[in-house]
Amino acid sequence: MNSAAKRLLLTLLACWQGVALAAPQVSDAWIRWLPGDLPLAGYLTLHNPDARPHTLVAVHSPLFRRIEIHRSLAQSGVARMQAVARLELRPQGQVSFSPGGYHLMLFGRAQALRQGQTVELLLQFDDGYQLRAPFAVRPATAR
Amino acid sequence: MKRVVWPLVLALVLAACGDAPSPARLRDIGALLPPLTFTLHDGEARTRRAADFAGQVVVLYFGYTHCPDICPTTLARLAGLVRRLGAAAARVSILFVSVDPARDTPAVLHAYAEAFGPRVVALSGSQEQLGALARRYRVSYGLGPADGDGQYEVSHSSAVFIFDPRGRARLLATAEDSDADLLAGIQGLLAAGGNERWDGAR
Repeated sequence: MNSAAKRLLLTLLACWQGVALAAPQVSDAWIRWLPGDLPLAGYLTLHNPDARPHTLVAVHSPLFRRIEIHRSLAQSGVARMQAVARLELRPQGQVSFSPGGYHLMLFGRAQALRQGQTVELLLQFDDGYQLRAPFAVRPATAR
Repeated sequence: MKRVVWPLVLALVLAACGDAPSPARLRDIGALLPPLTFTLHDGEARTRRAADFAGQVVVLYFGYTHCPDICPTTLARLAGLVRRLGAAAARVSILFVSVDPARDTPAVLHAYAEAFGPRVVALSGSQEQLGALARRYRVSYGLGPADGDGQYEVSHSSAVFIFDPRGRARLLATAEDSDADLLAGIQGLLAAGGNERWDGAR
């Protein structure tokens, strides 16, 4: 490889890394296990290190028939859920999906899940960016 | 069609009058709600009545198993707190009453209760039985519209009702109450004793 090609490759790499660094990231991702084929909740924290907003628009996994973004609301003593179509991450912001608030609702397991297992979900953003995030499957009693 | 469920205002009303001295710091419902009375069935399809729990502190919560967030979060919290009581945990029963008997068959209830440990008993009943219990504690619930998969949401009270070993309604807790207050509330009722009597229905 000649030096011009090397330089181009390095530039491209740096560029790609820059994109990767500025893209949304996930931490503390877990799923609360429940028996049978009951719908499950997934929790995580989404970080946006970028100077511009990113919007989560969908979550997919071949392990589940359907995944929705939900938010629990407790209004005047009644618990309800609300579907969330899009969730914007502000620049340098973060959003916590945690028990009693935002959560992923996972419907229809394609296969049995074990506690202690890790499963991967694909988070899709409005600009086409896709993020693979590992979720730990924790017991029903996890807090 | 969506059956609109209007929220229970009890929690708010009780919160407003919650300044009366109560060692437990949870809402004192002793004068407001009647003693524990119900006829339901458990995960073995056995009939269970309130009097079966005489001598126990009963922690009563309404929900449904297809609820992925609030219900398991509440049960995980309650089961975790009761586990911290050590040997005294055997004198506490957490009753999870499913208001969704169509999906929550005894087999589903059994597996669900098991996932939360030995102090959780999952119960359900006929619409009449559930309605009677819900009315008794002024709890509302309702079924939302089914989606393409036949899944539907059930709105339900998020309150936790706590009864003393005599079956008297004593405390009301919500997600906003701290673990320490909840634990102190349960411990206070355990310490007060009164196991020799039962005030609920037989």
